Amino acid sequence: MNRHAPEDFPFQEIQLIEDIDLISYTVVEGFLSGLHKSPFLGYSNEFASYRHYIPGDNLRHMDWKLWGRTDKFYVRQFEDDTNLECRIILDASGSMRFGEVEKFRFARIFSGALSCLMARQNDAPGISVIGMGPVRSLPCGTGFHHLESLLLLLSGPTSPPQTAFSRNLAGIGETFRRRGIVVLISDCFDTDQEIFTLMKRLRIQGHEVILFHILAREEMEFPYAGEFAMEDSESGNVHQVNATQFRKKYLKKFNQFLDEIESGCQQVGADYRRILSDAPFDKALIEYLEYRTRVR
Amino acid sequence: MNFLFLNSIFLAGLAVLAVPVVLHFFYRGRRRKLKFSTLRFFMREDPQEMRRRKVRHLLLMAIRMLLMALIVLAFTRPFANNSNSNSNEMAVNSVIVIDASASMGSGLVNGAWKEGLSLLGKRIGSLKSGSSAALIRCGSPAEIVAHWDSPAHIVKALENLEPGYGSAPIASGLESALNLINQRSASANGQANTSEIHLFSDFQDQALREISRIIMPANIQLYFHPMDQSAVGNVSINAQFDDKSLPPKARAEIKNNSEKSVATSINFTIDGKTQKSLAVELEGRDRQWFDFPIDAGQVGWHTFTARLDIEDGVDFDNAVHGSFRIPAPIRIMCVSRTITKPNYDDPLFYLHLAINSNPDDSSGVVSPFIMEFASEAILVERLKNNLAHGIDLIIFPGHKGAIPGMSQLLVKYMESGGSMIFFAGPDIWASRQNEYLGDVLPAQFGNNRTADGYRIKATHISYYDREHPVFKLFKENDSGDLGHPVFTGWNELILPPDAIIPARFDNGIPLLVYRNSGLGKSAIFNTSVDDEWSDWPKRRTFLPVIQELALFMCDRAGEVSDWSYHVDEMVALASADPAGNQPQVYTSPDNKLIEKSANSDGFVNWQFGQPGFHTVRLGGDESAVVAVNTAPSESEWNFSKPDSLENLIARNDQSLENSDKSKTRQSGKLEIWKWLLAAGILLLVAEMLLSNRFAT
Repeated sequence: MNRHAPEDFPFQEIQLIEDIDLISYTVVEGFLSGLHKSPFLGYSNEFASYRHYIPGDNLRHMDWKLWGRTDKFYVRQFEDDTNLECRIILDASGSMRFGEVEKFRFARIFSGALSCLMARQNDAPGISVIGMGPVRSLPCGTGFHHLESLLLLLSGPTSPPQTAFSRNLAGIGETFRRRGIVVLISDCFDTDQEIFTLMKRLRIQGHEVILFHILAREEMEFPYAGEFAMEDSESGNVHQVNATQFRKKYLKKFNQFLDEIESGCQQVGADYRRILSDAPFDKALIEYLEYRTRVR
Repeated sequence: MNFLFLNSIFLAGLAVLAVPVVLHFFYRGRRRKLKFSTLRFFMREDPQEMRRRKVRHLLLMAIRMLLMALIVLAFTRPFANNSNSNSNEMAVNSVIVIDASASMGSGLVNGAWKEGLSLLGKRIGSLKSGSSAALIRCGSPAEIVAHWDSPAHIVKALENLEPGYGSAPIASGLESALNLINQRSASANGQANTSEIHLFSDFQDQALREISRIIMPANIQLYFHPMDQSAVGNVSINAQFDDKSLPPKARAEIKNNSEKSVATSINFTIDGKTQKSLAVELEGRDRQWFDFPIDAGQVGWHTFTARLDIEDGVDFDNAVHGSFRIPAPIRIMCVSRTITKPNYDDPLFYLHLAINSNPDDSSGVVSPFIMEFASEAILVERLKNNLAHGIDLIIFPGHKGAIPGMSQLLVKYMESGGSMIFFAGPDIWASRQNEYLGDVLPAQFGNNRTADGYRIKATHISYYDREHPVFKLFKENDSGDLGHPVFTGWNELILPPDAIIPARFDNGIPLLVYRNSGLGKSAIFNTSVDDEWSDWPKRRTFLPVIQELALFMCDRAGEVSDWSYHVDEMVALASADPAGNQPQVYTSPDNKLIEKSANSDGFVNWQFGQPGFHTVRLGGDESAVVAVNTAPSESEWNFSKPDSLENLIARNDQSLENSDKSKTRQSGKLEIWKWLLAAGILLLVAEMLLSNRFAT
């Protein structure tokens, strides 16, 4: 695993690389080389202790009153300051295996990049991959080895989709010990209300919830014409469709679905981000992180 | 009623109906498979809706197949042949028009004529009882062979019909048929009969020339019975007699009216004796011309024939005949002291050259003139002794005096048909001529004038009557300009009221003046016969004017020498006995004799019905030989299809009185392709509406 990707690595070729580790590192390096500050700050308000100021610390946390009293520089430490837990829940169901640029591949790389970013700033990424049989999880953790394990999980061999994403969502929230960030990466096709139920519960628990809604361009535009025997990637059902005649209705229903997901996220207070699987990885990530930086 | 097709070959297009069925079964199990992420956005159809959709698709396929079938059938142009229109309800008035033109003669050779008449006979014979029929033979003119009679009688009359040798305008046959039907309808006594016309013809293009003037009532059924000539080849020959050339010639044109090339030969005979034989090869639709000189030599009637040695579809145009008459020469007496042939410096040289323009007797060509020279004394002697009846024309080439008493003799001469030309040159002794010849001259002489260059200028011919027989030939191009000759002298003339002046100088003085005298004429040519008063004798216009004047004075101008006519052409021949006591006798090529008397104008009208040489005794001992040929237009081997004639014959909405108005079909055929196309258009609209509705 090459942790030291060259600074001038061509991002447009990242799409062709199968090495998720490499991509993840490269994307993050690229992000950080742009002097982007991580927007994933600890946001816990629980004061833990003081420590001496080290050059480079964020002056926001400087306790000026204490300096006034002592003439010494101390920074406040919060409970979650350096150990922000970021749990990534990755949908590996059948519908994610669709797209000229496969959504699941994109989601894995995206997850890896996100994990690398978290690890770079000493946060604790974790991951749960749902849909390939039993849930494959790695709890949140820190350290280089942990990150390696996480990336290994992501880049390891994938098995065919076996279970529905929604079926395993219910138990997910119960494994989270501390409040943190929960990132859902899914196309949401397999869920109706389950995902909102989960997001709502996580929010009540105090987690920050972000939904990255991964979609294929073909799903967005439906560029088909003629008669087809369409097969559902999840269920395997086949349906005769005249694509030309059906396109309008499909797009109407699909857009309706997108609106429902977005408004559902707004209602539960979760962040919603729609990403097409043929978008450049770094751009998708950078756009979201910049947005987050502005918002926070 | 049975259905037939005009273009049955298009029925093969119905095979295209199998294409949508094949495609339907081919693609039914072959829908492309497409793996999609989820089908949650696709509406689930209930089985009933799926069944309904299947029915709709089958219905659409059926509509499309029917649409294609209608279009294919429209191309085949089906029609309902109302062949039994006359067999069911009512009696029929049926007129049969038979094209008996020369081209139909090919049917006699290959049996198509008999076969066509036989089919017609069966058709007429099967008419409902109470029906009537009439028979018209289409010729020039159309002839009613049999008026309204029972069908059986008409069938019998059909058996004896044969084509002729003339042309047959179809329009006149149809007109006669319409007249018969109108008469019949007018006297129908309230009975409603269907009227129909059956036309049996090869529909040669030249016979259809005036057919567009026929307006047929909408309720008369018109049936065309074509005699097919497409497999009949024809080579034809026709000829023109050219008497303007020297020697006269016959120009023959041979035409190959078929597509194949042919090889044949032409035999040319004059008066029955072979003169020339030529081998000829012609490509398809090719023509060639040949000239045959006619060296007949003798005065009188002559015949020529150009015959092709070929066997083709028709033989009426394999030979062309011509006849012509070489009239006796005009006998001219030139009053002159010189009685021998003048030499070139003699004043009479130019006159002699003009009158005897064929000095070389070895040419074999008969000159129209014979001129002798005689003194006045000899002339007077002959006039006195009544020996001048053999002289057609006396020419006075200009002389000073006149013998007393000559005037009365000349008057008597002209009364019996003789004519006189007086050349008035500088030698004229005006007062003497006026005194002694005043009774015969067409004008009195005044002073003569000579141009002196300043007071009296030279003059030219400025006016001449181009319609006058003497000057008619100058209407043609490149015939010469009469305005060129220069005249330096002339005589003033005192003109009587009945003088005729066909030409003048530009000073107003007549060049030529004449008047009728008895049965003859006398003329003054107001110039010298030589080149003393003009340079005209040296110009090319001098000779033809003198010759034409001589012919005119002897009433020989425009004399027909070519006696060739076409079959059925009306020919009026002057009777030698206008009072009608002695009829003209006609002998046909097959030696039939017919006698006919002259009409009130003194002419006998003949119409020759067959090609060949016909003899007509004009009167006395003279018999004319008339050559008759079939009109060249009958050899034009171009034919029209009957269905194209439907558009040429106009129809009006007026029905015949007392005719059955309920049956208004044209030609007995009901073409239904228009209805098929209309149904196709309606189906197309239905298909568009349904396919759009099924898509929603």
